[in-house]
Amino acid sequence: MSDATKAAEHPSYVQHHFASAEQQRETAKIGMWVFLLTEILLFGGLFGFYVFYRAWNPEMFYNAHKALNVTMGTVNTLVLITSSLTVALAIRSMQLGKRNQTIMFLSSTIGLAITFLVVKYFEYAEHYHLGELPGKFYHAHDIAGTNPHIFFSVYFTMTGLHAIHVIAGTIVMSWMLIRTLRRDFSSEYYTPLEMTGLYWHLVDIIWIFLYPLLYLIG
Amino acid sequence: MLAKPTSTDEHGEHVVPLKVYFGVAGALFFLTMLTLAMSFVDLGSMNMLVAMLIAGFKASLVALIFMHLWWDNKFLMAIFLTALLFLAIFIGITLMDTLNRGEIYQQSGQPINPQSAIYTRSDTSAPAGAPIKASSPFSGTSDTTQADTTQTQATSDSSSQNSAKAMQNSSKTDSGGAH
Repeated sequence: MSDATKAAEHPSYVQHHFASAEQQRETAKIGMWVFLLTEILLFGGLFGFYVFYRAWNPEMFYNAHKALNVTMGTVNTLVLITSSLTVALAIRSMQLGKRNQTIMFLSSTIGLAITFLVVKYFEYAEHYHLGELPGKFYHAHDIAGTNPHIFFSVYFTMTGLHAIHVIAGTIVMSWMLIRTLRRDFSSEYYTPLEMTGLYWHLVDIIWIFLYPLLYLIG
Repeated sequence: MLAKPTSTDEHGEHVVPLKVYFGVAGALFFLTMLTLAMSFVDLGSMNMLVAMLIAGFKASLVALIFMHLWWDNKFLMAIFLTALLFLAIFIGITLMDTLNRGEIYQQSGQPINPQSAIYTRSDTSAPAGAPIKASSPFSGTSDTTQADTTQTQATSDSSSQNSAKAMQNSSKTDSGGAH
């Protein structure tokens, strides 16, 4: 086998222990999905926290959820859905080799992620100001029902862990933007971009459930 | 429902048409506003069901189209569904406990065998026939049951027999509300 055919079969982005680029990509995808499985179970514990305590305190949950700002929650839902679209478009552009479009879409995704965090900050600041805080830090007086601090424990742990994921996603996407600018990716190799997209979509999916569960208790 | 995309890149990865991506995003926007609107309609306990069905449909759209599960190896779909299956097992089985705790705490107020040593009371200062209450965050009352069991070893024969009778009496009086 000549060196030329070897190079064609084993380009620089394929690590030596993989037989082909396709095998490397399939392996990365399976690994990423297994990681997403652990993420679902991580959030699953908190969804359980929500379900068990809401079953015990249905009226308190209903009363306490009125303290949340539905407008901000809805805006954040739309912001995250749009960011999911832009990250999907960023990957699609790289599949077609349109690097400049990828840079544009990745930048918009990062911008939308920061928008989400800013809106979240204003929500948290309002709750902090009113004393609607988790557990023993709760000192608001305007919510009827026993133990409303439980609702805010649920609210802050669930949205807090989600916000940590948004921050992590923003950092990873900034890294992907730098790598795109460095011309690390091409239409042949964009696996890290694709994995970042999968992670970002999962963060979106989790918010899709958090939004009605927390903001829209009917 | 969905046309399979025709174009692929050189490695067989599917390039999803733009109109599919924008269509899904439009659907997600619409369903978000639909959930919001539905929350103002009072359907009783159906509200949560409707909200979760919409959220489930939105999540499916994201997973199938944005995350490419529709076109990818079905093994990846299996991994995703496994996570959901185990989540359902975890929450479902725990609910069997948390939804029925009230009944269990009620039972602990009515000893099955009042003669057994664990129910004997050493606290002779307590008035005979004092009610024994269940220790439960749901009954909202504290009790002395735990102290009793730890001091069982120290009880004399006569006092344990007396208190066993007291237990029997109190369990009879308590059982009125249980059934």
